[in-house]
Amino acid sequence: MINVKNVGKDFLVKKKEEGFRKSLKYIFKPQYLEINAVKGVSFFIEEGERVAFIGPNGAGKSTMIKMLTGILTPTSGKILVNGWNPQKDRRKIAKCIGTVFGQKEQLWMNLTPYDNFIYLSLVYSINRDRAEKRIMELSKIFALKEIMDVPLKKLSLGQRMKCEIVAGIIHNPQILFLDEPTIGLDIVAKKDILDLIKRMNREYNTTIFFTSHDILDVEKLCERVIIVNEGQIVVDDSIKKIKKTFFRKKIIEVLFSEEFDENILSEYDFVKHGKGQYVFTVDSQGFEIEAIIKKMDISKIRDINIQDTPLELIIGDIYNITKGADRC
Amino acid sequence: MEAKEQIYLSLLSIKYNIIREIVDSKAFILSIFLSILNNAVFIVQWIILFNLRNEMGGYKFNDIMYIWAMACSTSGMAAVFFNGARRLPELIFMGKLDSYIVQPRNLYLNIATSSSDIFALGDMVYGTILCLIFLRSFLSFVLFIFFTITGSMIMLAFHMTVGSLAFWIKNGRLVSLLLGNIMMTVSTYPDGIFNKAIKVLLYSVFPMGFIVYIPVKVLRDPTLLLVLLVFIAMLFFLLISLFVFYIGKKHYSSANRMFGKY
Repeated sequence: MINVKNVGKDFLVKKKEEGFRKSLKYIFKPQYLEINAVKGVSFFIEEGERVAFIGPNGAGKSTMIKMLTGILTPTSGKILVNGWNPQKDRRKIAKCIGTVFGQKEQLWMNLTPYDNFIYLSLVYSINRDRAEKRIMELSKIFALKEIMDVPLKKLSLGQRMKCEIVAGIIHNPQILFLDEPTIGLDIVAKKDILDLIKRMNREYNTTIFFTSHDILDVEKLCERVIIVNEGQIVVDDSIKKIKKTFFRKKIIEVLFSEEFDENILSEYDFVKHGKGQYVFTVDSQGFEIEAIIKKMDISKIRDINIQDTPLELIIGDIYNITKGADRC
Repeated sequence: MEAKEQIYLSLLSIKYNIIREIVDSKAFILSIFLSILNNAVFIVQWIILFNLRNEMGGYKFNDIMYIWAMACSTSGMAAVFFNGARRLPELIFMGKLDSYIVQPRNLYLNIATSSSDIFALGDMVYGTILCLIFLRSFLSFVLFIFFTITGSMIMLAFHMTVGSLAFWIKNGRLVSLLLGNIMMTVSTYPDGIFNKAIKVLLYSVFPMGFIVYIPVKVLRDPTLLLVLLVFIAMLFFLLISLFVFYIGKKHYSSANRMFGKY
């Protein structure tokens, strides 16, 4: 469905130096800096997969999504989406993909959701009857019935984002590209939107390509994660496998009832401690949890909590470890 | 079939643009009226000038009114139907082309018809009123309509071409604005007052020659050859703009900015 082979994207950015004099110099002798936003990235996504494409800021996520949707032209490599080249066959691809950009609104603010959806239906060559049916269906699913005749600019961020998603799927696309669609949304709106995307994937086998900085969203929605850092893929695996591989660390939270000599725990990584409460991480492969507890003297422990490292921390570690290192 | 669909979609886009703009109906009517009034003020200037001289650069008062009629109706029509072309540098700079690129439509037309300057309806109405006052035959009126269409298409081509400079030049918005202003400034003066070098520019870089001057010549003395010449020039400028736009699009670098569409 999505086949990316050795894709790279470079940007030329004009160099600038401080001060008026140096700025003048650059007018006559401009110098450019080449930024390699994406470096030789390859991956394949099957039909119906839910894939998260994540990474720290500036890792190349948005650049990749823009190349896949035909917005940007890759500097090198080959991209095929549904068997077509996004640049050469832009219009063919546009018919079978849907896009939602959390940082960019594609709807007209002064028009109502209904007018926006009718216009977009025509953009996708959907006849009026089918369009009306589809709008009814989606407004029911997304609970938009009440606001269909209210200009978009008067709606809340969550309501607008729901409208953006409806706009992205009005033509029932085979592939849905979501670039940070939950940005700025509250927990309830986020949950609603993620549930709806999941439902779409289940009912229509829609392929989901999702980028987000919220790892909890990724965990809720996706089954596979591609992690990019500095323009290259550093991990491409299922969430289950990532957890298995990287969940070696346990977080131990202990509350002591009396004075405790913290030097006993000096070999472990402290997250925080104070007022008899200690939180530290241990590598479960290097240390036996039982032995650690014994060291602390059980009689002095008032409460203890042992948990797996949240995926969020694991991903953060991966970002840090892979910064500047050689990639897979 | 597809062309028909595209035209329908473009008209629908214009209809929605109008719906958006006329939300404040009083401001809408007032600004159209003021736009007509603003144009009419210039008649006074020309009346004073023609009291001092009988002709200006080979043009008489009526001819100047033809020039004003053509300039107002073409720029008005271009702004009402193809205002998106004038906004192209801004769309490029802000990274707002993304939402048009991901739609299965002709990108050039989709962008050109994405916005309407409804207040330019005042210019269109003013141009038509002048035409009805000063033109003498039905044929002249038909030719006026024809040249309004070809003129607005050449203006579309001009704005798409200079607007596409923003694909290469970061401050292409300013360049495009300046070039557009130069064109509009010279468009309401008779070409007879300009020297040869400027005249060459008026038939090439700033194609007012094909938007105003040749049409006015035809309105004064209908010639089929000149009508054809204007039509061919329109096709030529459209082709140039298509070429520059699509070459430029390859250099589009998008941007992540948080702005809504208005």
